[in-house]
Amino acid sequence: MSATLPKPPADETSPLRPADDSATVWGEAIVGNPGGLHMRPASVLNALCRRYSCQLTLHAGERTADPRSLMGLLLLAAEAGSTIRIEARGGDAQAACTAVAAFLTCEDPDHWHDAVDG
Amino acid sequence: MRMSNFVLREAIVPRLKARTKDAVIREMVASLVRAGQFREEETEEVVQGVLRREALGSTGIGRNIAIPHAKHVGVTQLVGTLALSDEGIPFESIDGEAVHVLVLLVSPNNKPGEHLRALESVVRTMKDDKFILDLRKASTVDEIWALLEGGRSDTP
Repeated sequence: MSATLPKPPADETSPLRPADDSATVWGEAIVGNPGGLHMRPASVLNALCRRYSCQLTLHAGERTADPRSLMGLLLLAAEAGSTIRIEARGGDAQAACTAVAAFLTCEDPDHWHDAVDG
Repeated sequence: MRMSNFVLREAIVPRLKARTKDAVIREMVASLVRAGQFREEETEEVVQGVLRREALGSTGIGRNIAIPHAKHVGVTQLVGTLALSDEGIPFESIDGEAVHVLVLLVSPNNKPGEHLRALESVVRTMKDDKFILDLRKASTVDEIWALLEGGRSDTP
């Protein structure tokens, strides 16, 4: 599966670039939801991340969380406008990183929720 | 932020009488009214706010814990109460388990950061297995309050 994914650009300005030659992909997103990553968007993000097989870690300042843990996401206490770095390793890392970044940037988690369910 | 910064001691319910989700939320909101946080006539508004939020998805986060919450114009800063149930409340939790520990939060409309930090504080405190065991064994407001005041507060 990963072999069929497009190779991410490696230039420094790209939000999605491999950290090295391994299968780790890094992304970055600014939290768009005005309420921050509170319980409802965190629950949707949790469900979204469970669709991917790669290892995911979110970094918010000095805090890190496995987004497959709802409690972990709540411990980030990520406010609107804060930056989250996304680390995805292995398998479908590129697709997961892109989806997580898109979700975090989204200002309307309810609309996103519909899109995910649909 | 410590849980004792926003949980009102006088609103703590050591032993819930209610046995259903709706009734538990009503009992907890009533405890906030008794503690002077809301006027009697605001009770239904607050209850309906919490129930509307539950309708969007359960706030049962697993480990027998739920954090029902809502916003309300009647508060200028976040307030909360804590309640325990020996029997456990069916809550449609993320792990399907009944809920024994509930923390109900009511926050003002314009302070999302405060709400995030309170959620973080509850989750951080409740991740401690020994804390949960001790809390579920507690049977008085004094015992619960002592645990909350001694709870972990290593929020940066």
